[in-house]
Amino acid sequence: MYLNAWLAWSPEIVLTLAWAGMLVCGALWPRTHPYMRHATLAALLIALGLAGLVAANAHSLYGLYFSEAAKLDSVTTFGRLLFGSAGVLVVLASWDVHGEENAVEFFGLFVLSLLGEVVIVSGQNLLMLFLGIELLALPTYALIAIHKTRARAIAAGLKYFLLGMFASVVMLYGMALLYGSLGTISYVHALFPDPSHLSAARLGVLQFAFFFLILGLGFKVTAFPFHFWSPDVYAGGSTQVVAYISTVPKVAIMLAIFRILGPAFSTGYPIAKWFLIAIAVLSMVYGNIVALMQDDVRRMLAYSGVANTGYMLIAIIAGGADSQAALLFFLVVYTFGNLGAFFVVLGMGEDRHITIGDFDGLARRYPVLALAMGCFLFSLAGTPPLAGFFGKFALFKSAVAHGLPLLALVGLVTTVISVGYYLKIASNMYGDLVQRDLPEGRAIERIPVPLRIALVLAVTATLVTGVLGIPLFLGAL
Amino acid sequence: MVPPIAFLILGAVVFLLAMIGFLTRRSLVQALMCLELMTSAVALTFLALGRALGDRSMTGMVFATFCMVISAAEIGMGLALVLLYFRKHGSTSTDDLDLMKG
Repeated sequence: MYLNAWLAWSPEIVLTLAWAGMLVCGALWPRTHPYMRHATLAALLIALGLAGLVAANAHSLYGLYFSEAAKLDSVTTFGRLLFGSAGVLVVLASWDVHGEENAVEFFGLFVLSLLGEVVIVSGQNLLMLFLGIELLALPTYALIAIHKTRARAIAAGLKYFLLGMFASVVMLYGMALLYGSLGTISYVHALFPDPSHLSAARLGVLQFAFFFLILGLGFKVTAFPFHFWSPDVYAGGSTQVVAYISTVPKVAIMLAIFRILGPAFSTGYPIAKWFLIAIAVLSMVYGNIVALMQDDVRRMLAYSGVANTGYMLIAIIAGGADSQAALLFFLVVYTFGNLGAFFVVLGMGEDRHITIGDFDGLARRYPVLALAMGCFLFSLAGTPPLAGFFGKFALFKSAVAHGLPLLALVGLVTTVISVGYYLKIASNMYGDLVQRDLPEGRAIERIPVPLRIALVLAVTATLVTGVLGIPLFLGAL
Repeated sequence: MVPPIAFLILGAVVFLLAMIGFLTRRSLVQALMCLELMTSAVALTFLALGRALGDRSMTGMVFATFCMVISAAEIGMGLALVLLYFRKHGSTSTDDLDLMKG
């Protein structure tokens, strides 16, 4: 049993050892600082390989561990593989930026926050969820603020920290109320019992606790009324960190929400369900409409992230196995599309605001970069040949199958709106193929090789998930 | 013996006051103190609930212990960020942060 536990959690053990080793070496021998990135990359690749091996031996290793505190199943494996691959891309993108300066802090904190995400996804009680969220979030506050050349980095980090901690503590109070009304914090079995078995007073406390819980989790995934921190933080932090916090933590917490609330709606909590539906609809509508009006590309991507959260919530509201498959697929699509789009912005220049106007005539000057950006944008927009289309199709189909056709309709209409701002960039890139020089100072410096590799990998992932999505699409017809 | 409900009410009142404080105070250090107070109120609530439920697995106490650990990590991170901000901008006022603006 003990040997099994060591084997089953070997990817996390490797990452923890790598983190500890990096801290010790970094403190003792400053000469090792340039090799922190190599160590992180190696640790991530080893962890990915081990996660694959564990998944291959699913029958003997999957199950509940540590007094039912953590669960190893296909969702945990999905999380490990997705977080690991996204982590590799982010490390490649940060290769030169954090090569020597702040290398120990940057890569050490980054590995810690990846570990926090695995805790969130595998956790089976509210304490693990809370600890995972803190382990994920505390490093990201510092990662946002660590950047030296961006003027607003510290202010953005501080803002993220204050609002993030506030949301966490409110969520913690919700967890206390949940514990008080249910007498347990474990969600190995459905956390929310059949409401008819509960007294009216307990049910009241439970609904109240639910709002607090959703407030905290909704903040982390930038759902509509709790999204207000994201545009400033995304515009203020360093691009590779923003690429990271806009995708991976959101995926982890979405999976946790699915674990907790997935069984809840089948037992029937109408008020909670309507509350979530309202959040999903408002996120989709507000995110897409406000994104249309943005000029700064990072802020636009922030609002596009709000809208995508709305789409993900559709799967959680619908519940059931097919929605879970749709959600997992959409999360992969969103992760690589969004990471890629931020990497292109990173390639265009780190120390200034990239506006939509900067994309004028990009296709003529940098055809490959423009092609990559086009690929990510069309995937995010959900245009048919690319992965995003199949992701959204599966989500809307699961909503219709579970009796929520209106929700699917809102999703469809807002998707059409979203094409507006994604296409605005694409048309800027390709519409202006006439000879016209870019304005002075807008030329792009040479893009470093690791970032090129990251871009190629992100494009490949987007295209491959698109191909994998075809059977999902055909099977549904 | 004081019944657990008294502690629950105390926890809720302290939590609410700290929350109002966080949302209205203009100083970063005061905001951090309010966050600490909120965490402590939650820890108190967990302890009271653990006793009220007669939970033999001590979930409430374990949760309260972790609340304290997290709040220690939180204040370390928070003070470091406030210090950096003060060095760079020369103020510790939340006004410049536009906390509630998107």
